[in-house]
Amino acid sequence: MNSGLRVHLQAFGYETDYVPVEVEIFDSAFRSVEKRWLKAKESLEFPLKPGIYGVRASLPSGVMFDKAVPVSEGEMKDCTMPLHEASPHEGHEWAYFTKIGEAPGSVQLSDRLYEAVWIRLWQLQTDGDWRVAPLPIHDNNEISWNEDGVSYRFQAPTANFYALQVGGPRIPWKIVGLPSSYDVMVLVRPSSGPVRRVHPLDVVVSSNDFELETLLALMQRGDTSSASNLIAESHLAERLLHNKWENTAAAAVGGYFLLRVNDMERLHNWVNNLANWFQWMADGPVIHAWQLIAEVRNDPNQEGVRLEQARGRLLEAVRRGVPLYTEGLRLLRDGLLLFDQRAKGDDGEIRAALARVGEFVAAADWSAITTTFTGTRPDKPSTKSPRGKPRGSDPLIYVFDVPLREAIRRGMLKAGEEIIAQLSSGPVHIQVSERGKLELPDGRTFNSVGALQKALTGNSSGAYWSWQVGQIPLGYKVMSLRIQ
Amino acid sequence: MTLIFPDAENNSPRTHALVIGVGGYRHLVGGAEERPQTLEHVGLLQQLSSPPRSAERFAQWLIKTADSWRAPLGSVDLLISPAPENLDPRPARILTEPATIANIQSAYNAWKQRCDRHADNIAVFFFCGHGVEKTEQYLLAEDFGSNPNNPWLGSFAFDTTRLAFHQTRAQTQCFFVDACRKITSGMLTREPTAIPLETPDITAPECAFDLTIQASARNEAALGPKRGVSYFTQALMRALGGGVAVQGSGGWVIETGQVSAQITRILHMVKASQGFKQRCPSRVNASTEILRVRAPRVELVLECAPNEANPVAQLTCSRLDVAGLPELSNQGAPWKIEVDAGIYVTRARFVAGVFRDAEGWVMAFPPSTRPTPLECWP
Repeated sequence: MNSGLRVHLQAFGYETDYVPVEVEIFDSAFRSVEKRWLKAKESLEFPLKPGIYGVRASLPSGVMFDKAVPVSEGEMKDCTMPLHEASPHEGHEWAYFTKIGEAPGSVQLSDRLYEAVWIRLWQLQTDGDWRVAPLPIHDNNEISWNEDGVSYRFQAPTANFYALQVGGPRIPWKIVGLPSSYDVMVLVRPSSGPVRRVHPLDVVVSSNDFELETLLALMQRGDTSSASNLIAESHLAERLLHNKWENTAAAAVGGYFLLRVNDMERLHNWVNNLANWFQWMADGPVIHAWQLIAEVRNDPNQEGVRLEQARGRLLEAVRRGVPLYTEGLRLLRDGLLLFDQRAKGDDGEIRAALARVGEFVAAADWSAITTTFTGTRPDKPSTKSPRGKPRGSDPLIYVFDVPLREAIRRGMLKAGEEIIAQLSSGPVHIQVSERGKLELPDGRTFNSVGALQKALTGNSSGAYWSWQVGQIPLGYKVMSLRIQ
Repeated sequence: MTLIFPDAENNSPRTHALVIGVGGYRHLVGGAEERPQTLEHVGLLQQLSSPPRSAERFAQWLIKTADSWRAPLGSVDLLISPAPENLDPRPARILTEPATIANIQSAYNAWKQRCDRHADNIAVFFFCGHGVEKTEQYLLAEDFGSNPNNPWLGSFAFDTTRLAFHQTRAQTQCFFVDACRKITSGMLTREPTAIPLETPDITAPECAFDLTIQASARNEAALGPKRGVSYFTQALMRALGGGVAVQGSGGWVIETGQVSAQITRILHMVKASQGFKQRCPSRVNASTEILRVRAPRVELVLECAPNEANPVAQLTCSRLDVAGLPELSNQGAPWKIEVDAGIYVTRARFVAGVFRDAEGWVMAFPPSTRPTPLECWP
């Protein structure tokens, strides 16, 4: 057969090379004739008989691209699928390709709601306590700023449990679990939902293991069929079969998938090891508990010992904290509910554990992949989360607009200094006042550089980069507060 | 128990549905026997107009599609409590029992028995009304608040009930919960004391095919139009009616995995502003076919590039794979039309001006297709 389709997947993002994309070819009666997982910039020839074919490329996020293509005898027809259209920026493609969420909206980080929004990193210590750690971002190549989202890429210092926290004067503090991985990617973007219903900031996190991230996205959507195909065609199969996991978070995802599809044979003993060897992670004991429950369901003779072990594992998970993945939080809650019902509410330990997990459940965002909840600390979930800036000197960085008082406090600007803004109408002289404000010659005052620029130019495109403070570009000073 | 589709007590595989719509809350504000509610924020809960309509419409839709189910429809039990000021949504010939907690419990028990008859049965549970979430989701019956000191006696714990239903013999279980969440977990300092409709057995295996979708809207306006069918119910009927259809060996079919994967997308088509706000957490362990449908309808959006060509383009759309069907046309783009799934030729023509005429082929996949714009560059 020398006729067919040459499908080209078109994407531009640096990180998206390894994002799996499901390509399906349909005949004119919509019957599937080919289904393959390709990488986001890959091309592949599909030999086909002459006819009309439909091509569908499905991103892990659920976004689909469709085309109808006629194929003639002896023709290898090119078919380009413009995947890049799913994302407003190259640098954000990884998030729009792999994570379920909203399309870019009209709300922007330059809106007043997002003034002085900050993020900081928490790290679980060996003593079980959580402490703030510096974000390991050292230069602006690791950050991409846009009004519709700011993305970060960094390497976690050690294989451990990290969590990101976002907040601001008008933004309730929110905690997002971070996958332990060599490379961690984060996108902070505005949510378009109403503030009281949806948290105003959507924080998308990902490891650089896009096969695994795709598996998570498919599980979140309940698309177990595509997930099984992905496993069969990718390196995931080997990892699932032979327990060749690069890190603990990846192993946990494999465990959750096998539990979801009830494939107990593949779980083997490595789940027990996952629970024993990585004491910081609550996901291991949760997966092991459900493996034990499944064993009892398959062989009721094992009920006594296995269920006691499972109960112990669930209690152990609660002692360790909260699972990294939302799937784990749900399984932990469900497992405790089952044991609570079994004991008719008389098991005090289970009751206490359920109450503790209930605090996370009540504050949780069930639509997130990694455990996400509002709260003051990773171990203190709260449905009435505070707003504002944390007290103390723990390191944090500003996401987009930097408050002037902070710039003065950190010595980036001084009261009495003059900023010269070059506008198309001519230079404008702006004073840094004693009150910690930026004052225009006409008397108008502003709390931040971003707000000032928006008033002067009508946008926040970053024109202030070339504005001068003495001999130094203002952008340089702002940047230092956005990195560390 | 009100079986609006009778149970023939047939031992072959059947689909059995329990449909509950609670809009009238007898003891809450505006109810027939309003009582002062003192516990925390329970007094904020009001009557709802959308759930009775939604439940009635969903039940009627089930009957209309009785023969399309993989296991033909065996029974539909409908419990409805309309709000006092709203017209009763039930057709005159149907008298359903109110959705009190006792009636819900009784209907649940009978429904479970019917589902238990055959492993290939399909169990369908639908609830629309008030819900509260804390450690789990609690669904409120008509007599919620009857005892103001413990209003939760008129409610049930959904997640535990769902876990318990796995024990039922029917291996395909579809649970759809469309709850109005006026009280948030943050407003409750104590865990509600609602009990499940059934106690789970930890040793009972999960059903083979679980499809559970729990949608929750922040208030009635987000739940659905006043006295109208809720957005989620509209999306659900659209999905099951063909919106997520795929071509199986014997024609178009609906699979549980596709319902789960695409329900939020379809909700966005029903009510664009709800798509993100009402994301629908769903759970599927393995996918299975539940319905067979005719050629599904597809939302098709046609447009031109560059954007400036859109207002002056004359667009046509004609079916390529079926002869004799009329050509559709429209002045201006973007042009949103609903067509049968199929292959179409689309054309953009320009009477005058700088833009070039263009032609494209489109395969209209359910639920929606937005092909790349017709290239009309000068």
